[in-house]
Amino acid sequence: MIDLKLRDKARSVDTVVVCAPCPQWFFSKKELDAVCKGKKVLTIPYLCSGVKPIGDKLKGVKSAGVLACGAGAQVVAELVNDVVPLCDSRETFVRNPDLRHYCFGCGDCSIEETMGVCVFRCPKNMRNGPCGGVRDGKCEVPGVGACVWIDIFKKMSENGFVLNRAAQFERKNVPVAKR
Amino acid sequence: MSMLSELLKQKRFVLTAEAAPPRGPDFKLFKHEVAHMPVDAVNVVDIPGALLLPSSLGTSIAVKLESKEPIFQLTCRDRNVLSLQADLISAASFGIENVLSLTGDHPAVGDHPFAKPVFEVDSICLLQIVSQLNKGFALNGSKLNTRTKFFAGAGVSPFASPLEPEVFKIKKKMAAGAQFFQTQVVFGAKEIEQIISLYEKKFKEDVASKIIPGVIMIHDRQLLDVLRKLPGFVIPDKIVKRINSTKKPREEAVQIALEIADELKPLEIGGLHLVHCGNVECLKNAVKALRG
Repeated sequence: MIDLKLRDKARSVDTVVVCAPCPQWFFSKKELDAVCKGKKVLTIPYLCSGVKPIGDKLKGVKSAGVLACGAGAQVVAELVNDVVPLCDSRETFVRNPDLRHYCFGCGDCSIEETMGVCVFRCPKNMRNGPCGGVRDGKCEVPGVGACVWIDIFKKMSENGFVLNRAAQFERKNVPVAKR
Repeated sequence: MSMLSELLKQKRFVLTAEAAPPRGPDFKLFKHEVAHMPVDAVNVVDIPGALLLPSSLGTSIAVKLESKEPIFQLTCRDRNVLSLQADLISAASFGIENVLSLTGDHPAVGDHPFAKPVFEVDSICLLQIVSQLNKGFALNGSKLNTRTKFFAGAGVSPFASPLEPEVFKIKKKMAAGAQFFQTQVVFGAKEIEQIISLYEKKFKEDVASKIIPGVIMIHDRQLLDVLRKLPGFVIPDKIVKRINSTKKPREEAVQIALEIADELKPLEIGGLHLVHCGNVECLKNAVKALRG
């Protein structure tokens, strides 16, 4: 299920991307309206299918709040620079098998701090930057491919480390998160 | 106060060595070797490369009982936060003071690829846990009966590429409580120099005196073949050729290490970490030459 923690962070985005039909199963219309008030609302079915089906629907969007699981939010983050997850997933039903590792429903989504990329996609759960095993941007674990932290670092440095809600790379993350 | 911290504070050139625990429960030879290591502190590795060896806590205690100062390497690969704290508190009770916080290699690259990786926290979070214990509190805020006196260190990977995030991580590690840094083995000064200059340019503060680069002594051709097969371990051709062509591989290994040390010394590093690959004679000769 998806947690109903609609975040007050929604205030700072100009667009709300709603993944249909997932969140509607769990949110009341009243709650959804409260979040979407005064925002441009884009409804896109099954964000978790990947970037391709979205096409150019998100063209021109500068900052997006996403009502979807972490995987949906991360797919949006591949197209939009500034993404805020508006709900916490406890369980996910990701359609695209290639994206199943994107979100495991920790119920504590904070990918807006890491440029819309979940750090738990790293096989070593690195929370504070890439490990020393990274070579040419590739993970040390066979079969993983690109290091997620190098991706995050690249996005952060492109934005001068100060993009709205993106956490400074220097910031240390707390030892343990709720999960 | 740990001796290592005192020596680093006084800017004395520190020499540390690596003691790999034996492959099995017989510690007799290991203890004998450790007792004859003429170095300031002995690193006790924690299942390096995810290749099974006795635990670093038990081995650190064995080193301590031989009246040598251990550097207790602790990885996050096999322990959750309960176990990490339990091991740290146990180590403190035996008077072990130096802790090297590492994330650890993934089990997928080791000899038990089916083992479950834990990685509940990473090395920086572990440093925060050590700092918390040093204040006399556990991670959940409960009070310990006395505080620990750990001197925490962390790893630096000179071969990480891109290198820039690694430089940021040094800063983060320092903020989390790391007071010295040990590196993997290097075969020249280039990588360490690069890290130091990048760091000092970015953060405008000294880091060189806290870095203890690793230098390896490959005293055997067989060992060379084994090392060359390790993933991510690149030995320059020049050194391979020198080891293969020499008639006295032990002397040559020490000679190569001393040459690398001479290259590193002008960087005003805190000391050297000598990896002697099980040959204490080599270590003794190298230390003798380095100490003059």
